[in-house]
Amino acid sequence: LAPDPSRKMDQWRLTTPSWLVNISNEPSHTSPMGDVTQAITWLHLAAEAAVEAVAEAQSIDTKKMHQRKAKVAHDLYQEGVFTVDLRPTLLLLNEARKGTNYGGLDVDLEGRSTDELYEEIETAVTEAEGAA
Amino acid sequence: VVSSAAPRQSGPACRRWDDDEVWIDRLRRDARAAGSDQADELGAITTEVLSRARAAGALSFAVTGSVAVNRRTWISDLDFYVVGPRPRLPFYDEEIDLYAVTPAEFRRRLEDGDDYLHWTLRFGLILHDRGPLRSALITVTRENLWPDPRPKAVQARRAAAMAIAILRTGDFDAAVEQSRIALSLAARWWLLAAGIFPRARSDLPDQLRAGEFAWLGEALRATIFERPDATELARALERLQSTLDVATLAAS
Repeated sequence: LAPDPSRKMDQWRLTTPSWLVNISNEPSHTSPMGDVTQAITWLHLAAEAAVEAVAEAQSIDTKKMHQRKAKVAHDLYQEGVFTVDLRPTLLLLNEARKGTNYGGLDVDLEGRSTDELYEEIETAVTEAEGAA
Repeated sequence: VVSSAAPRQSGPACRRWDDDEVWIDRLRRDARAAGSDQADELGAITTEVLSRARAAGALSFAVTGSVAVNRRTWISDLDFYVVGPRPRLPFYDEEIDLYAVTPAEFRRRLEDGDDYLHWTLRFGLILHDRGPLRSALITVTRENLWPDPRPKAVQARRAAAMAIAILRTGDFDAAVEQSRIALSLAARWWLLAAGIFPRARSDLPDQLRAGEFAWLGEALRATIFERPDATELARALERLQSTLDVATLAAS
């Protein structure tokens, strides 16, 4: 694969199931539209990919660590690269992803819907593509 | 395979947890270990998280995961188990994994044989308890309770499918992380079913070494300590999926 910084977003666009847009935020591991665990994981991957793409383009080392990526996302927001601060979203999704994957916990998005998260991340991906 | 989960081993050290001296000794040892087994920076975070949890009304607080058994690796988070409200935490450079359950949820999980709860009782460093953990220890020891391995098989199967999907996107780092989740869940399922209590993630390959699931241990080891080969990882995931398909079908 070519070291194209927008590669991850391209892959995400190609592979993210379309049902993510409409998935319900029910406290259950299954929904008629698919699996909530998968939805959370894909959203988290896409959000991190947006941050990583800009970080790679600006030679910022995220050390491939989730916490570091969240910090970089906040810095990029403060610099005006992103119009939204992805840090809370990344932390929320990372925690939800681990809770549901490892612990079998119901997904707790602290009152936010997956639709809302999806829109925010899609915006960030578009901004990242422009910036990268 | 799953129906062979009957073999049980002794509860957490078979101690008499209703004896105040035994209990106080455990708390002292755990507090000492939490102080000595953590770097200053991690210890400071633990102290602050504990303080915030207590202020929020936590009934119990324990350090879990690799730190609790002094087996921290470069991919380790700082793991905490809280019975009570989830405290609000500031942003830390270290990745925090705080698992908070209500007292009712805690009791339900004890009855359901939740393996993480059992792990916390057995290996966790208990730094604060107003009843739930001690009471659970007494129950587990008295009734010789053993975690139910079956949910691990279901979770592992789902995680393996996800890992394969991510691998197909070409995002190898993310695929390795998801594979690590799937493989460690499967390792815990198998060990629990075989009557062996799984320790920290980095110990699982050694715990699996002698049995028919040594290949699973080796695949997991590669995701923790090495950079696995993509083809071998894909093969291991497919083999895992087949194994789990049979196991979960048998269980259902």
